[in-house]
Amino acid sequence: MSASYQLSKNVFGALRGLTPDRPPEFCDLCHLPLAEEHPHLLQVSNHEVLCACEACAVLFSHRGEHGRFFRIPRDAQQLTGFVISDAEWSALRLPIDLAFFVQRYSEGHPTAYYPSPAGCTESLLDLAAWTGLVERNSVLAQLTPGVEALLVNRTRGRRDYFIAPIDQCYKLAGLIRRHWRGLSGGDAVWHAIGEFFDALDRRSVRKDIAHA
Amino acid sequence: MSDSIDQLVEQVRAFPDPQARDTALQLAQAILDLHASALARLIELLSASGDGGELLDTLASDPKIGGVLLLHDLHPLDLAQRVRRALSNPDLRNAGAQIVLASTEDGVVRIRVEGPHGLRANVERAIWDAAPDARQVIVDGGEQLAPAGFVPIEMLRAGSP
Repeated sequence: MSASYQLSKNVFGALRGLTPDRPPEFCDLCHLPLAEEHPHLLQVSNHEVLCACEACAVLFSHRGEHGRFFRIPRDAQQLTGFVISDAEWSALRLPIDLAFFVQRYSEGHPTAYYPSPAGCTESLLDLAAWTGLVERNSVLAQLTPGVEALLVNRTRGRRDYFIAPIDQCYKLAGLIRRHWRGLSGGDAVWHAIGEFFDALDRRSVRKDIAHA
Repeated sequence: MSDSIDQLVEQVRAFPDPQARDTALQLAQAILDLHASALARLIELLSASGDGGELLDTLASDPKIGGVLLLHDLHPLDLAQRVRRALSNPDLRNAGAQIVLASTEDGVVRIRVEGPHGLRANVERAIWDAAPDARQVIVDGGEQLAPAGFVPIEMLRAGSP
């Protein structure tokens, strides 16, 4: 190992991530510093996700027509008994086996997003295919617009279906962009994806929809 | 060989065994914390002593020491001050160019170079040495000269009597 370290930009960045005084995050509404785990709000006007302190999250989030901010739920549900055949999945015409579906607040039907090395890509959704899915999985009709998504992971033999908070979906997209290397992504990205789903699993409530 | 710190940290973060990974990262963090607290104490003692301020200044302007102080939020100079100091380095000043700091807004360092060409790489290196915490460094002017054999018309005019 070299004995003379110059603190290059890359080394600085790597070590900065380990020092305790990481630049703190602030509440986007009142600008107080935030704990590492903090609520997120959806700003309805532009679909932007904001960081919030607990007090602002309670104060500003309202359901209903006149709400400007919606609180993004913390917990996820892992769905058992979700019904989708390989053919139905193919009919959604997504380029990869990892995607989330969310209904924008102002629109009637959901949009599909899939994470890619370039970030989060929006995909046109075959409406007939989606309607078929909702018929067989009535839980999808209850997704809260804007803040809850159906998150599907069919990569590497997994068949995981979640109702997940939208901030978690963005988090997944962010870590894929950060860790993706080369054509197939590399070990680091698949490790990060596996870890993400393990963590989501831990904070999820099981929900058997087969007999619902 | 991948033995630079950033690559090692990346490798540790990719350990498949979560316990090994967390322990390795905690160890690195603990060692960094130990150095941070010792450095903070060192600066406290220096500042309290008679000519310590001057010594601290010398230490902080050393790229290696300065970088470590920055890492722990202990550097006495802000980003603009550090960049200005880097630009006053004799090697850059004696190159005969006008090198001006345009702005450091949002951590993006913008530099304007007027005069001889080919200085850009040196300017960029000097800035990154002094400011590894910069988000981006943008240098206007000072590009490399066109390849040998090609003489721009301006140069012919400038050289003609």
